[in-house]
Order: sequence, then C-alpha cells, then structure tokens
Amino acid sequence: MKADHLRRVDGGSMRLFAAAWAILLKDIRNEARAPKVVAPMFLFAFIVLLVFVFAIDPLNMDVLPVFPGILWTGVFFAGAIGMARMFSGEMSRGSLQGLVAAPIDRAAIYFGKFGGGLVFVGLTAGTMTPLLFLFFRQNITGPWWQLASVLLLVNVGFVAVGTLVAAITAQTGQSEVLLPILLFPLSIPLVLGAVELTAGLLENGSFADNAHWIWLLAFYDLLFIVLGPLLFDYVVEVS
Amino acid sequence: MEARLLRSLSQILGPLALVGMLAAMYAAFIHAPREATMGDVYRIFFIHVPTAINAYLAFGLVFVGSVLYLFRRKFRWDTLAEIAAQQGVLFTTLAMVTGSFWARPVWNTWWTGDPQLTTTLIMWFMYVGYLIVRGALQPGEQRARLAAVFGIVAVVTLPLAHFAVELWRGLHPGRGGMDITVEMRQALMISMLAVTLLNGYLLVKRLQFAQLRRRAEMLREQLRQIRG
Repeated sequence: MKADHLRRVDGGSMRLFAAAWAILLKDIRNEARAPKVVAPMFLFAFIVLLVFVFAIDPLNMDVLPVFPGILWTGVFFAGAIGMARMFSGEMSRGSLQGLVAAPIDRAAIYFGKFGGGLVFVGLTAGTMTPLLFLFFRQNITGPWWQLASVLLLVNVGFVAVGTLVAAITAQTGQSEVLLPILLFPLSIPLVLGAVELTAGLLENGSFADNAHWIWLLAFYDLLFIVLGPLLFDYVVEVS
Repeated sequence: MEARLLRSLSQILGPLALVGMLAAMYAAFIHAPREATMGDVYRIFFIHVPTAINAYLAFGLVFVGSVLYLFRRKFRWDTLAEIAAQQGVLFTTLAMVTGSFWARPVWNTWWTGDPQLTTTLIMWFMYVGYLIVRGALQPGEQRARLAAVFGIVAVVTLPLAHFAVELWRGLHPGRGGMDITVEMRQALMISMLAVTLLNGYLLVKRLQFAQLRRRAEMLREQLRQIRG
C-alpha cells in the first residue's frame, strides 16, 4: 500500500503501456534463454496430437464431425500447461513482490503477463493447428484468415482469464493441478464458440450461420480484458 | 449485536422452514393433481426447481460476499461467501440428482449432453473449484482475498446456466414450457418458499457456528497468553 503515492506520481496510459511492454520483453527474453513455458507446452501439444492420431485412426474413418473437438481440446490442454507456468519464474525466485513494489500500475503487470501468454499460447496453437489439419487430412474450404481470426479471438479470451487464474493458483503452490481445474470450466464458452465456428468453417467455409458465436467470443474477450486487470490488483496485493 | 440478530433469525427461520417443508410435502403429493402425460413422476419437479433456484441464490451470495470482502475487508463476508458456496454446491447436487431421477423415466436416460445439464455441471465444477482453492490456502487474509477474486469470476457461469434453456433450446423444459394447473403452480410456490426458508435457516445456523468457532479461537488465544 505504501507505494501508492509513488504510483500516482507518474501514471498515465503511456507509462502503463511501457511497463507492460517491458514485462512482456522480460518474459520473452527469459523464454529465449530457457524455454520453461513454451517447451513443455509444445511437447505436450505434440503428444496430445499423437495420442489422438493413434486413438482415432484418421485414415480409416470420417473424422470431420469430431475434428473441431479434437483440435480445440488439444489447444486448450496445451494452453493450460503453459498458463500454469506463466508465474512460475516469479514464484520460484520470489520476484513477484519486486514487480508489485515497482512504481508502476499493477494493471501493467497483468497486461505484460497477458501479452506473454498471448505470444506463447499463440505460437503453440498456431503450430499445432496446421499439424492437426495435416495429420487428420482436413481442409478448410474458406480463406485461412477466418480460422486464424477464430484462433486469435479464442486465444485472447483464454489468456485473459488464464492470466488472472494463474496469478491466483501460483500463490497456492499447486498451480499445475489447480489451474486446469479452475480454468477449464471458465473457458467452456470459448470451447463451445470455437468448436461451433470451426465446424461451420469446415462444412461450408464461412461464418454465415455462426455470427452469434463470434459475438459471444468477442464479449467474453472484452469482459475479461476489463475484469482481469481490475481483479489482478487484488490478487497480487502485498498484505 | 450480530450474534443476537443471528440467534433471533434462526429462531424464526427454523420453525418456519419446518412448517414450510411439511406444507410443501402436502402440496406436492396431495394438493397437486397427477400430470396428464408423465403421471406422478412429474412431482420431482417440486423439489427440483426450488433446489435449482436456491443454488443460484446461494451462488449469488458468494458473489455478494466476495465483493463486500474486497471492499470492506471484514472476515464475516469471507465466511458468508464460503458457507454460501458450500450450500450452493449442495443444492446444485440435489437439483442434478433429482433432475436425473426425473430424466430416467421421461427422457429414458440418466444424463444427456443437453445445454441446461452441461452448463449446470460447469457451474457446479466452478464452485467446487472455488472450495478447492480455499482448501489449498492457509486460513487468513490471503485466502480470503484470492477466494473473493475467484468468487467474483465464477459468477459468469450463473447467467450461462440460467439462460441455457433460452439460448440453445435443448431437451430441458424451459420456463413456462410445461402445462401446469393452478394447483400445480400453488404447490410450486409453496415448495419454493419452503426450500428457500431451509436454505436461509442453514445459512444462519452455519454463520452462527462460524462465529462461535471464532470466539472459541479468541478465547483459546487469550488463555495461551495468560498461561504463557
């Protein structure tokens, strides 16, 4: 609480952005040195992919009805592995207090972490999706940017809520178990929207019948981008 | 002051809940007529709907308690949220189990992937998760604060579960989806009131219990200081 007067001295949105950017760069630099978030996420994603290929045998059956479900189950599982580790560096070094004590708005920490999650989960999902299409011999009929925009919408919502929940579970010391338990029920609207939109794209190559799902995803994203930083303030409070 | 209020509340709510439950049983089994297509099975509805509504009420209280804790920083709001979450999980479980008993003869299955069922189950998971988070943290300021944040986030599953019937139109009958007679409506109102009274009574009793425990803790601490 003592740092509050310091924080107010030089607030402002530019400073918030600069601080968030600095935290994002720090996380990316850390990842480049020792990929503690991305590497397990990638490995896990590939293993899930292989398990699905072996379990379902896409060569001998029509996987079209189940493919969207498989795709998003994989992405969400891998994403949860990554999100659970977003704060592990801070927790093991005890440097979260340092970040919180810095004369910046706490929302900057949230947005920095949010940006990091967006990059890491986005990278994994962006690699995994084409591979899943390849392994399961699926084709999108419409332009590729449609699927990419669904990925982006889902990714933003997932990471926005994931960052908040990860900050809570990191403090319990059981993040790897607790995070998926808390995050999956919260992301159900995203899963539903993503699966419906992808199924629509695979079947007729457009969002035509599914516009309401796009609105739902956009609403969810917005909700947690606003709610996330507001509540994050309480999560990292030093008592 | 607060202790006295809780005591008088429990003295009022207890007998009212008892009378209400007896009246609800009479209303559900005798006052309400057989239903034309489902026969007697439909009577589960008189416990199913009130427990479901009370689950929402309890989870709403979790939200209220969480918000008030973050603003006021009084442990009583944290206690309210915790107790309400436990009762909400209890009532959701009851609603799902009774719904399941009804679904077996009527839908010919215990459980389906219907949107109403799925979103209710998600809500249940959410608040079980809330209780697990509490269990993973030491009692104190940090636990109350983190639980409050999660209690606020979890509330997004309430509208999802409540409006699932209108949003997706699954198998589950919606509000006004069944032809009900005047007697049935009366029986539903009575059982709704009775279960709500029971919910309130349990809540007050458990708040009292929490308060007594806190006092015992304080006395023990005092004793320790006198001895030490």
